[in-house]
Amino acid sequence: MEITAESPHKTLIVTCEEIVDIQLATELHGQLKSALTQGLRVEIVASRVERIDAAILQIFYAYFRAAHERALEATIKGASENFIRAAALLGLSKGLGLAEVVL
Amino acid sequence: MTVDVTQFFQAFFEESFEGLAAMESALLNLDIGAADSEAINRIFRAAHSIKGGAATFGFTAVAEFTHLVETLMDQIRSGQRAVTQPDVEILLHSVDCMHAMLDAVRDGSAVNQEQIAAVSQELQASLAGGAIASVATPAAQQSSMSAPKAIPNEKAATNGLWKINFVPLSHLLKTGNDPVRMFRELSGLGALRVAVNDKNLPPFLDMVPDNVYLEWELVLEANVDEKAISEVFEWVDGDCELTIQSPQPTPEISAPPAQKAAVQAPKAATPTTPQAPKTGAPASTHPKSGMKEADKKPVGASSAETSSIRVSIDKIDALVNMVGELVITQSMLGQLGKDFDMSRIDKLLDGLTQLERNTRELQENVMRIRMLPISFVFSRFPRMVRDLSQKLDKKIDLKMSGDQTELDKTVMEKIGDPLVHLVRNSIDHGVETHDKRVAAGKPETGVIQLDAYHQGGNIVISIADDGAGIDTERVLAKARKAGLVKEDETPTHERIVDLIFEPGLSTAEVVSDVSGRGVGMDVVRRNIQELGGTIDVRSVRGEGSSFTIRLPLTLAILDGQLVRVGDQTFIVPLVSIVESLQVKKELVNRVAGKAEVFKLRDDYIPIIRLYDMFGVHPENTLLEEGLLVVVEGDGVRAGLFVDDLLGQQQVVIKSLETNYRRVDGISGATILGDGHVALILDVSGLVKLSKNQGPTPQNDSDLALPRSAAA
Repeated sequence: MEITAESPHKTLIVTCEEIVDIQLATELHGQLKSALTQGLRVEIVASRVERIDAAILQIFYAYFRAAHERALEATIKGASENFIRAAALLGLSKGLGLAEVVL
Repeated sequence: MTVDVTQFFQAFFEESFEGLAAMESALLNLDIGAADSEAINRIFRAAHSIKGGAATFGFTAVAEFTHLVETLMDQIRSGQRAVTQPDVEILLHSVDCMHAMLDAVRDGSAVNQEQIAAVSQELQASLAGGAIASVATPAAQQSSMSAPKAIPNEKAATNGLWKINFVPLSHLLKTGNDPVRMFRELSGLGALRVAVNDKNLPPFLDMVPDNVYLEWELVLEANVDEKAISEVFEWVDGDCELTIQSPQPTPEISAPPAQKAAVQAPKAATPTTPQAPKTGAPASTHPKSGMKEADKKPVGASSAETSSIRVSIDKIDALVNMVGELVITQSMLGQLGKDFDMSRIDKLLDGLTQLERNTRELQENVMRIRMLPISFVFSRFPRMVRDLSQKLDKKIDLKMSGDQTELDKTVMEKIGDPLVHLVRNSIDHGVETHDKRVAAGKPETGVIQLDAYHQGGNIVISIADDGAGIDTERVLAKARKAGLVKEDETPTHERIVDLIFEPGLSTAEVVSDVSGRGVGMDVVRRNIQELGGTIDVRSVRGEGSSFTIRLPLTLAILDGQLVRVGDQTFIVPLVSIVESLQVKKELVNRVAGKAEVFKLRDDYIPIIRLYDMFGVHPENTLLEEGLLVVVEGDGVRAGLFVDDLLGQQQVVIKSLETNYRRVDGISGATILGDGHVALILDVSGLVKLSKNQGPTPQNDSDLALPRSAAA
């Protein structure tokens, strides 16, 4: 997972690799925590995701909730089918701003 | 790479039996209506572990049966149902069934299928909400088998909306399990709707990234049975709270698992094996090839008595520490030996003293490894007292103390049955029925007190009750009738009470299946004596009885009296010695011109000339020039004629049978400090032998013993 901060636009871009799992949870949480405290905009690029687990989706979901409370922008761009389906399986589609799917 | 899972069987059985004991103990202590949640969790965890292990090793019938127990416990712990007395009864019977099934798997023996099926039915009926008034009698079990109520867990596929409440424990993700994967699998069974509950999700800055805080409510529309759903969650059992609500309260009926499957040896894992993990999460150690269901061979390495022993890490650490001390001492002595002169003799003596201390402590620590708390035996009594008191309509309170008192594993295994007999006797003959107790001005509830403690080098176990005490008049009358006491004889109270250990002397008014068949107390005493122990009884009419057992802490070491016969040294167990004395010629008589007897006060005891018995060249053949060691074996006294008494010491018992061959009248051997081998006398065997005048075919060469330990 590549995480880059684009300071001029005050945006943190999180680019997800094919597999995003619990091993990346601490690093991701740290970056998002930092973004939250700095009031950065967060953009998650999820187009390549083939497998994502509950630990990562929970972090995204928690971040989106926190960002919403602080009126910070957080978006998921180009979510892959697998990403969308995994989020739907956990009932997190709405919270992550994704389209609902029938399971 | 294949894993030979059979190497884990022994550990599985040991852990399972411990789990069953814990379940039984917790069940017996459950307060109906106000059950302790920790006790309920303990029972659930034990069942869960047994089920998991049984499924892993392919003991399908055990796993299926235990699954029912686990499900019932899960309903109780999740608050879906209250703890009721019928449920406790069913669960206690389930524990018995699980024990029997595990025994059968381990030993390759048969199991009572009817009993398993009946209890299985009761569990299923209870799970389905069926009212069980009490544990069914065999007849009732038969009828319940033919008319089962509802079986929610089996093959009854139900089309409808299954409601699943899944609350993972916070650590679940760290176990390698992933709700995404599980829910995907569920969605493969039918249409799935998921609602997440984030009420426990903390503020983002506070959350631990790999903890799970979310909970889910799932609705699955599918034509499946509950088992198919619960299988999805198989690997998170114990790591979550899971509720699966059946859409129909009474699905169609199918045969219970115990009726379908006998207790099986592990079978080969196939894709259809119910417990095979589908999520692919933790690596499975399912039995591979070569373990067929048809192989009904015992899977345990051996019987329970010869199994392994668990040792606490403290004991191992103490041992390692002591070996370290020994190495230091050895190193010090080695250094001293390199350039030794007489000026350093004091250092040498100090070193030898240190070596002696190290060796003694090492021996003590090694012996401690074989020591187990007597709770292993005591733990069976709460259930036994409960069941028997119910059966006999008595109110009995069992009190135990000292259950952490340790004794040798072998002694423990052998003392179990005599203790059971004594406790059963106390329940059956000792404690009176409550109306009799009230009439006698006693509390309605009788008390049986079990105590264990160390005293000297022995363990003392006492079993006391506040019951009716021994009816000495009845005992005396029976003893007179049996010819054990002469009509004109007036034995002391102690002697009369002691008569209950005579064979065939039972004073039970009603012969029951609990006790009172007239066999038992003599066997109890004999078994205890075989362990090198003693049993005493005290009884006061109307106040109760108390049995006190004294046992050596171990069978590996013996307190012995060294005696000399010619140039041979023999060891007489101290516990067998009554007294030692010099023989006066006028007190010796010959019976029928052959056997010699010695008049010991009012009694005549046979004289056993050890030199004659074992073909040793004696120093003395005249009785008045030697010594007579009066011993008692199997309640019979005899005098052992020896040349001299040498001293007393603890000896380590070596098996003569293993190293040489069995010799009548000898129980073992030991190696003395000077390297000589000394034989340990089997007093009971000698007494029997003396009746036949000499051991069977032996001559001098039979006992030509090696003169050094090396030989």
